[in-house]
Amino acid sequence: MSKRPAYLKSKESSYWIMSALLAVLIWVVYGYAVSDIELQSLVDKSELKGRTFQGKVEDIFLPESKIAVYFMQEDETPLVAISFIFDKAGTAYDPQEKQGLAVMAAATLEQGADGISADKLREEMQLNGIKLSFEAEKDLLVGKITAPRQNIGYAAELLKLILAKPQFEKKYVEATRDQILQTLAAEQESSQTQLKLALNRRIYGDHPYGRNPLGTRSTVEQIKRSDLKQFAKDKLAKNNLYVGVAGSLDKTEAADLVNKIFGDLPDEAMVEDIAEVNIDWQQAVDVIQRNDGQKFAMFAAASTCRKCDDFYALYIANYLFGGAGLNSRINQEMREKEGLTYGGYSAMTIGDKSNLILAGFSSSKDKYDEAKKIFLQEWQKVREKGFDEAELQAAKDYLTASYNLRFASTIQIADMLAYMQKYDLGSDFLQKRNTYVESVTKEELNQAAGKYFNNNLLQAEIGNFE
Amino acid sequence: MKKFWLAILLVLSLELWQEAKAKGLATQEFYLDNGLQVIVIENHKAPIVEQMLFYKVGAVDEKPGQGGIAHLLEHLMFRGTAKVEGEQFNRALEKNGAESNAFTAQDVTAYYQLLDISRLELAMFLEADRMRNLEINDEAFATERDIVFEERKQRVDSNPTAIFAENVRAALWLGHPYGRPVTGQDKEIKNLTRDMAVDFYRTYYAPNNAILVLAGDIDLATAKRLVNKYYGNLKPSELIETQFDKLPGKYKNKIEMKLPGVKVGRMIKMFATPSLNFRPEMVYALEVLAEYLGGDESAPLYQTLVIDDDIAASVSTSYSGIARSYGEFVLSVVPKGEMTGDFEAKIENEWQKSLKRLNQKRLDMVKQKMLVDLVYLQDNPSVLAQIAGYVAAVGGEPDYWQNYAQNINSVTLEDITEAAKYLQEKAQSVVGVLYPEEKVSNE
Repeated sequence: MSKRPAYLKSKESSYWIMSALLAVLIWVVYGYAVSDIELQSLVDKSELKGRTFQGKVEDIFLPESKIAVYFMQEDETPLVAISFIFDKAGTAYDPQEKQGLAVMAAATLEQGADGISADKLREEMQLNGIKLSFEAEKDLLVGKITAPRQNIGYAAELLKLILAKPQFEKKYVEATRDQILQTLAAEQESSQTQLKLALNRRIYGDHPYGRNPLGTRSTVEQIKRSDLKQFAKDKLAKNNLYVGVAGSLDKTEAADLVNKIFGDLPDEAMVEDIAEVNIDWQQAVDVIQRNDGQKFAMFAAASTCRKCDDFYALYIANYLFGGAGLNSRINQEMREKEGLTYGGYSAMTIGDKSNLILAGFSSSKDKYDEAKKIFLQEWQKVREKGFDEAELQAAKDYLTASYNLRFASTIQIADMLAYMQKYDLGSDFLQKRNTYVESVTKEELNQAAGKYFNNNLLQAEIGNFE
Repeated sequence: MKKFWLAILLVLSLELWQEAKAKGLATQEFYLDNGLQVIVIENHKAPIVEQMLFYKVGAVDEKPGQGGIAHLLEHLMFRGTAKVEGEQFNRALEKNGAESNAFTAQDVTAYYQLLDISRLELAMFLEADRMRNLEINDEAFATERDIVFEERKQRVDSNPTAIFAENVRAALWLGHPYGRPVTGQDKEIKNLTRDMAVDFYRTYYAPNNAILVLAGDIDLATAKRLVNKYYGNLKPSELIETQFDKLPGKYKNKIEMKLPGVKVGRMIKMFATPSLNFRPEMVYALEVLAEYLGGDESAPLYQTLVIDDDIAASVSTSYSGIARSYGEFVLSVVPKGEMTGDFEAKIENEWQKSLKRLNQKRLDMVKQKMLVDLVYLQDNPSVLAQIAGYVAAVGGEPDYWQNYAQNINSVTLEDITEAAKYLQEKAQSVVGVLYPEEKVSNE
């Protein structure tokens, strides 16, 4: 061993002592408190690391019917799920005097088909484990059918008949009408529903997007079975159809199923486009007086389109502001620090004619003003100061780490495949999605934040303001 | 159109069930030395997993006057431990893409995370840590008490049907703890203290009072190794078992309410029934009975009251016997017009007629439908995790899922008659009627 100068030795020994002290300190700290880094090392070192989802999206084009399908084989569950979207067949496309038509059609489409009674049809589906549902969104009519793999062929036969020759059996149409009328009445019991409808009217005015999707009492009362049949005839066609198929079957089987179900639909839908949206952002707050245990607030601002360049930047901004549950800025400030609310939220909506950021919260009477003040301050802060690098990274971490959760269920996967087509995201979207998220820069994020978190913020509130 | 033979389909559905069992519905189970019960449900569709931790404690275990403490404690469980301080828990799970939440019920409290399998060890570390090391500081306690108060205001006070449901439950269960709201009453929430939360936590949060469910891309061997690693060192506690009073007898109560803001009438009939812990032999017959009477549009109550007689907008029956004390059988009706004096009698009449009409063929069809639907339980691992965990937490047998199809399948017409007779003659029940405040306006 070579001799070392004294100063080095002393330094070495003090280094040793320091290291020992540090080790003790780490032990104490570890025994007592764990750092974020130490928590994260549980992930980095995990033996469960490195698995990826194996499913692949396949693009099927059926030359005869010109139907395009996204398909994913998934054999873990012995089920097959088919999601299908008819574009421009949603509630906003109802004729003015027949508002509520799309909702009623969605609720009654499976009530009899081609001479088979509704009761028989239901029985057949039940005994074979076939689940069929339709839902009318603002722009779209969305259908879903699932069945155990042995029965999907039979399910397809039944669905084909339902789409081609729905009977809308009278007794079930009348029962559905009663239910919709009762629902319309019951909506008045709910402050949150009233607030949502009021804000919607304020945003869109007379535009079809401003309507109650259920219609009004008088329009619902006027809808006839012939209207429902006409609806099916006009709006269920091949050129406004998007299909997603997932489950335990192969590509050829998927193509055959789709051909069988949709192949004989009319080539072209008879749909008229609706007007463009023109929003007056300068309107005053809509205040609705109502005796209630709490006060509720909702806000709306313009958002970006699904395929726009700044979509992911704004998506992250919204996530950080009010989309991240308890960790979002508004929940940190209003809920976690002050206990002023059970929770606030914000979300982006996508529509053919309008895209919005919607946000809201509720508080009891004595805390509402403070909560609202904080909400508006946070909104302004996003616009003026944006987000920092650490926040951007946190959002990216969440969005990429949660990526695989979307594959939890076959039914969910089929849905996703159909919407990917509707929004023209491409069959390679799932491979690219995390890259889209990762590539957002702080500048892009804050540019979107500054642009969309602006002063054009429409507000509505409901509760006891007296 | 395909020919349909019931017998063939019955065989088919049992085959499907067998397949379901082989492919993941079969739950696997083991215990740690400290008493932690673990259920593993394999589903390898995607590299994700749901971790659910059920504690066999809920609102029913609260001391008098401390209503809401179980629920408040559930909130406080996200506020930090000696090791994982403050908001670190939420932050770490968020960073790792987890859907993380919890719920409190009468019988159980459950915490869960759905997350990428690569993040499971983190979630296990965090969940195990907060089982024994929770720290409740005064400030977090005060804020969280405000939050649960706001939660109650939002869920109940602004919602007349929730107020109605609370009162109906109270009228059915009388002094039994099932009659108290899980959130606690306003006054009770305001009076909850930090010491009560600490006491409740120390009494009930222990591995021998918990069930861990792992559902997703994990096999039994890996689960055993990791559960041991993260939960193995937790110390068990001496447990106190809550004793439930027997209901006083076969009271048939009735409660009528008129609440401001109500636009649509409702009628509800609730029965205190057998459960997995009370006359469990009747549970499956009650399940089939609920499905038969009012399970969907094809059910006789719907067909008569909604379609033929046109006096109701909707009607349904449901039953759950997954409970630590009694189960619940519920009939809900939304009347079409006003509820006249004989409305209840008409429903009772149809109920009786429906029972008389049930024959073997119809019974087989109802069972067939229930069995064939079981395949859907496999689709999303989170769904089965929740049901399997719940069953275990209320003390269901480990072979519950293995025997479920067989148990449904062996329900006979006599069993149904007996179950219906039990509801009629022995079960305590309540009829709740909610009248609309005024005539419905025209828009």
